Amino acid sequence: MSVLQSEELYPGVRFHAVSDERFKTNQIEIHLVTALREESAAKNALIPSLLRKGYDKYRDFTRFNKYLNLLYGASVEYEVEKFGDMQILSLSILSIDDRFALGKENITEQISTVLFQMLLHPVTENGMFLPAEVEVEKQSLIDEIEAEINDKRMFALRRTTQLLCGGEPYGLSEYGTVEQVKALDAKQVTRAYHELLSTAQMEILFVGSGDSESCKRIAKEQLRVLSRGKNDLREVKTEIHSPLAEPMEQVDRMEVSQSKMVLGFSTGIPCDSEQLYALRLMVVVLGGTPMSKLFANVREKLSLCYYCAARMDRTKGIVKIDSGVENENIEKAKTEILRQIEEMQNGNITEEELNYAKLSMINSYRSVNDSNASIESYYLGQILCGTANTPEEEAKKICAVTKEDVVWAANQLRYEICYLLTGKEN
Amino acid sequence: MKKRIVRNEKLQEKYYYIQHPSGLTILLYPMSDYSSAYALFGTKLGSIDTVFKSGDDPDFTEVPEGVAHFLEHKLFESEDGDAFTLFAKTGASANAFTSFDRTCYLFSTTNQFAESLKALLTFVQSPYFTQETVEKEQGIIGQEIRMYEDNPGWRVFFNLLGALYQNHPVQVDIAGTVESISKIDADLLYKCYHTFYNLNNMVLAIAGNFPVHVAEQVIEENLKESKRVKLVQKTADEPMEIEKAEVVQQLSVAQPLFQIGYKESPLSGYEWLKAQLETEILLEMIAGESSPLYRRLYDEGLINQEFGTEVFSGRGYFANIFAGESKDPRRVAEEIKKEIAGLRKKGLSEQDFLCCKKALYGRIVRGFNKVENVANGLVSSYFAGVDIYDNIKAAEGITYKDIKQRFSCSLDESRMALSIVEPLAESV
Repeated sequence: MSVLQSEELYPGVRFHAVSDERFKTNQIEIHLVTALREESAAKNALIPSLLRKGYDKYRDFTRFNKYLNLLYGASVEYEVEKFGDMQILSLSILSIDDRFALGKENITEQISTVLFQMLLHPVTENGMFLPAEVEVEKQSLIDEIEAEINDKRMFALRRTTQLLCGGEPYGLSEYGTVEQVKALDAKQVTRAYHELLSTAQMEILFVGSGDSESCKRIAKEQLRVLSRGKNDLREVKTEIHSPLAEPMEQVDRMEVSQSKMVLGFSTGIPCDSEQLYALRLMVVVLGGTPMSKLFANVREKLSLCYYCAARMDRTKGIVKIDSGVENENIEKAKTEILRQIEEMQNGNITEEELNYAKLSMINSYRSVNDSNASIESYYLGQILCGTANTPEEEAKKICAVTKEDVVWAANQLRYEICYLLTGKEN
Repeated sequence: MKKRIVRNEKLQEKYYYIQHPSGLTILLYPMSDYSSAYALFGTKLGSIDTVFKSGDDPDFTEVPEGVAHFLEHKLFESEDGDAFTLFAKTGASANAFTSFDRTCYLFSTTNQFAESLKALLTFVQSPYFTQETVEKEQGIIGQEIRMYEDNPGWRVFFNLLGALYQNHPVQVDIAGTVESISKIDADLLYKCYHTFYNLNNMVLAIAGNFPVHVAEQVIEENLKESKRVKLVQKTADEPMEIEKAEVVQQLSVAQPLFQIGYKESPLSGYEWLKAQLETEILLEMIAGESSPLYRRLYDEGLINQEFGTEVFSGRGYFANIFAGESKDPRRVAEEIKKEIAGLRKKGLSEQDFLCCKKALYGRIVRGFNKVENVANGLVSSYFAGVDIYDNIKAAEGITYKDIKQRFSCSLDESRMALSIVEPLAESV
């Protein structure tokens, strides 16, 4: 069984390791956690893409990538994410473990060093990110924001969050807006980078079969330059979603063959509460598996949607039901989805439905430890929610949920929004 | 029952290769440190298998496009309900997929392995189709097809295949078309089922945490006899010339998506594997993140993060693809052509080759990190007529000379096509 071992290296800088022999790789991720705010979202979002370009010893991107190839194709990834009201900026590196090296290389030590060098010594001139690089990455980020319309399902889900959480940080895009990105220059981005290094909560995760101690030692040595004090750190908290005064409807039109409908609900259940387990199970019974009420009825029995699934934003206590639906079935599908929720609220849940959902969730929890990516994202979620349960412990808590708890959770659903992305009117 | 152990020294791992008297090939890859077991039951029937004959059939049968995928959907239904119910009882997560050259049914479980395996073997071997259920499925799959019509990444890819291939069915959407699936009925499904779901044409691969003897016992008890019949899958008569050099479609996208493809000679067996790996190295050298071309295109704003290369190959098709988003896809295509021409004159760097070869080895080892990757690797290798460990062996054996040789016989400009999905005229 994998166990998370954590240590605070400096104020607000924590190193977490899951050492597991089953893997042939080692992966190290650095997450900078900061408040998602309108004025800083765009400039922060640009930083990981600049950091991934190299570091002072490998200033040339092409040469840097040749070096990564020599480290057995070590892959460097960066990411900008939203987790509740937080913006998470991540940089990671992954390669095979030393025992598979064809020579006697210390791959793990080398990739650890590369990662921290990228974070701390990016390519700059006179202490500033290179203006030309900033311009290129600005365009790349703008492309990414604009390309959100390419994936209609994801677009509809994002748009629903934006409308539902209009007044909250969670309603903002983690990338900022196109206008905000356009307005940035190298000076602003460099300043934002230094501010992040001194104030952001930093979570470092090591997952793999290699020596996490040597990675921790390298982290400690290199991060010393930050000279962080206790007062520098800005802790971020997520507020639970406050419901809209009135339910809202929004229709967006685009050239699409299939419409996307998203229904959004609030529950008022926070992510560190024990009631969360009842909510989680409720969401799976409703629309989390092929045996769920939505799949079995709305898709299979009535053929109203191609997909119809329920999901949860646990940080905000929000539940969303998203579906791909033919235009002529929109109203019918909505009525049927709401009817299935009512069924749950009235306690019409069979023992089988409850058990199937539990078994499926237990299977997912038990599988977490089988991939470095799922271990990483599972434990980052725990850390950011301020909890420290193992997947096995979470599975136990799900097991203990009763039918009454699920019915109670269904009754917390408060309908807030119907979002529809549909074809152009003729 | 013939059983042998296949080992790999580098990985310090092994698996069992079993030739069952029923005709089924069974590949068992225990990975006891893991929590889950992942099983795949696959048949060599994909979207490209539209013309075939079996046994004593005098003539070839031609079936509508999308039949393999339709069959996959319908097999989940039995006389007494849905196969998902069988898995729900064990907590296993079950699924299936149809690709160009295979259909696979799968589950992943951390619990009740034997029951889950029995469920898999049972439902795949119990076809049940009626006219009524077929008609209902036509509606559901019709919706799926329409969903993909809105997917620009999917469209740009299939449009490219349509430009590269004149006759080969690889260019047709895996689900078929609303029109082609309307021709499917229960009898046709039974005919395809009995032709292709013959255990001699199938493979069962399991990787992860499971007791081998339990797997063997469940398999023994749950295989239905299959008569060995001769099956001929007709391969399309495909010339090396492409259909057309450019294809453009408009969809609601932000900026143009493109795929640039080079048609290559199809191969099979170990020869195919070697070509696949050599070409992966070659494409990395030409346009990977460590190449001057990548840097130039990126810095000029002609490509972004989405850019990448792929070797797309299978039964009867082999294409090298450069794909991404660009405000000017035609410029990107020109730059790629120029770079290739330049490299032909200048020659490839041996140093770069060695770097890329090391990276390829790393990627292959990484592939053994997950149970689902291993199970899928077993099935892919088996259908390709190679061994899962041949990857490592072939990669290690690639020389600089091999790469030069591969380069000289691939990426021919006259066999290049460009596919673009551009924003709708009104929204530009």
